[in-house]
Amino acid sequence: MSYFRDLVRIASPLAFSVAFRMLGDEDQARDIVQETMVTLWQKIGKINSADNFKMWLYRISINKCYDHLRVKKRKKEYNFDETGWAIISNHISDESASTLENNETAEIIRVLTENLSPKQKAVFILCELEEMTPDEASEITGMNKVNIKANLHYARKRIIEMLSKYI
Amino acid sequence: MNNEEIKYKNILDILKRSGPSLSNTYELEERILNSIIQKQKKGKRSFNFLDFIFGWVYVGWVRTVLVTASVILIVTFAYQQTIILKRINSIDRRAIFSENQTVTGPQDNSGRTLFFRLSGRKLPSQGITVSEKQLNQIMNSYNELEGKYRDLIKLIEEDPELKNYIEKKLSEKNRKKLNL
Repeated sequence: MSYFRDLVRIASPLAFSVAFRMLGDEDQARDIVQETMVTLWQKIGKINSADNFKMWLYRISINKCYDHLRVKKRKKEYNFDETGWAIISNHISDESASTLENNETAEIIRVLTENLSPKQKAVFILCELEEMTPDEASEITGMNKVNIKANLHYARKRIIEMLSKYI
Repeated sequence: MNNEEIKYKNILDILKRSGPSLSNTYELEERILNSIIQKQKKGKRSFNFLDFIFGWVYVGWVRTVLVTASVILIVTFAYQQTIILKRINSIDRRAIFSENQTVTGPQDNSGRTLFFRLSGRKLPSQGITVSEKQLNQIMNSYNELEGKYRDLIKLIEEDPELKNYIEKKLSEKNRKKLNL
């Protein structure tokens, strides 16, 4: 169990990063980390290598986030969020600002990805924020490479459109 | 690169720099380990029996197949037993006539058996709705009637005059029937 505790210590921030960026809520992201770690404990025998482990961890986290997002009611119309866009505007103009607080990060991601589908959001977070290649994102999400590229292109386009509209 | 793309790049840089920080890691670790321990306890409680029976099989899918097969066998066995019990119960309540006029049923019903044997195939073998009390009454009256008949025959054979008289009457009756 002590080895597993060490593994949890190493793996939790990775799972938390994806879950937090996907859900934009710290408590929900912590729940996702917990669920992911329990699944990890149950299926640890199936993991063959360290690379495999990272991919597997991201895949489980993303799938659990999908489940959470499915439960949330979809907003049919986009509501302009003045506070969210003000935060983005401030940080873009203020280049000296080094890092963001968790709540600010959540707010910015929420505002930018509000119009994206869960799959587009997942691709955007994996490829743009977690800096993964389309191959890695494909392995994690189960989508093929073409779909990954298409979803990423659409996500970028939507976000750039919103940036030009509101900032 | 146009202005919007620069803004996009800037905001991405900010977001990349500001990776979400996980606070209270110790508390989260404890929560995770506790939930794993709880799951393990639950799992132990529910799978101990299966481990006891199939613990000697180490290949996962073989064990699954064995468990499935044994469950199917148990269910089939229980289903068959239920059907057999139902049939035994219905046989117990029903008189079954066979070709050589043997009757099955509870062994203490010798009187009833005789009655059915005498009545033979005239009665339907199924759907007899005579209660036990009625059946006993019929049997008693039949036995009584049989006794009286034997006495009467004995009386007639002992008295030649009476015998002649009855034979005469019977022949007259037969003649009348033929005339009709």
